[in-house]
Amino acid sequence: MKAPATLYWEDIDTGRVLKTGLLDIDAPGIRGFAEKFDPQPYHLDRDAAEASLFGGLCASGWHVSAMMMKLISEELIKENIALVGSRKVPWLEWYRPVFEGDTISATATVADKTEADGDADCGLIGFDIEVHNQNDKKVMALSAYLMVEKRDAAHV
Amino acid sequence: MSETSFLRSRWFEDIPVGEFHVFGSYTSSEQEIIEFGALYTPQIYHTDPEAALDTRYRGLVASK
Repeated sequence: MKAPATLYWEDIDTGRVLKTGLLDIDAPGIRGFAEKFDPQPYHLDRDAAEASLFGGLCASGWHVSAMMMKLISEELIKENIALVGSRKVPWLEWYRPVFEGDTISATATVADKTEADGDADCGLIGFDIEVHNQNDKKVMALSAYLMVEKRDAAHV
Repeated sequence: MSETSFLRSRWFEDIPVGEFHVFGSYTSSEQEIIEFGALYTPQIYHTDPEAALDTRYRGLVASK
């Protein structure tokens, strides 16, 4: 299959929506991330999690963020968007726990386009991102500004 | 995991505004950058040290 043409900052319009695939959440994944980066009992131990406010083994919010980025990355790569990196996350909220056995997916809507201060060869794309579980309940939302190459800069 | 590590000794009321902590340090490694990148952010500048040299970062960088 031929790769789609590279999409630069200029090519991506406000209102464009990326819909991601699905990701299943399992206990080894939850524990593996938590052991390295967020070692709270409700992310590590099923019994402790069941006795906690959460009522079951649930993923670190940072793990959910990383899994969100995996889902979004797959779409950015599929659409061949000239991603340079992330610049800022002005806000992020977690609404519900993500439990083992859950399946998450995300949507990212292009909400804003701005210049990248100090970077003439790329611009910023502000995505409003929502992550939902299998019951269509919102588990997380954020605003993320990604740096995307500008068309002219790519050909100098 | 021992029982004591699950103990909670300080509550919301016990933590004043202005309290601060100096944390330890953490050194990133090529292996960890690649492992995390492969799992969550499969851009080549997170996963392939050779290909990363040809990007604007001129080398492997951690995901953010």
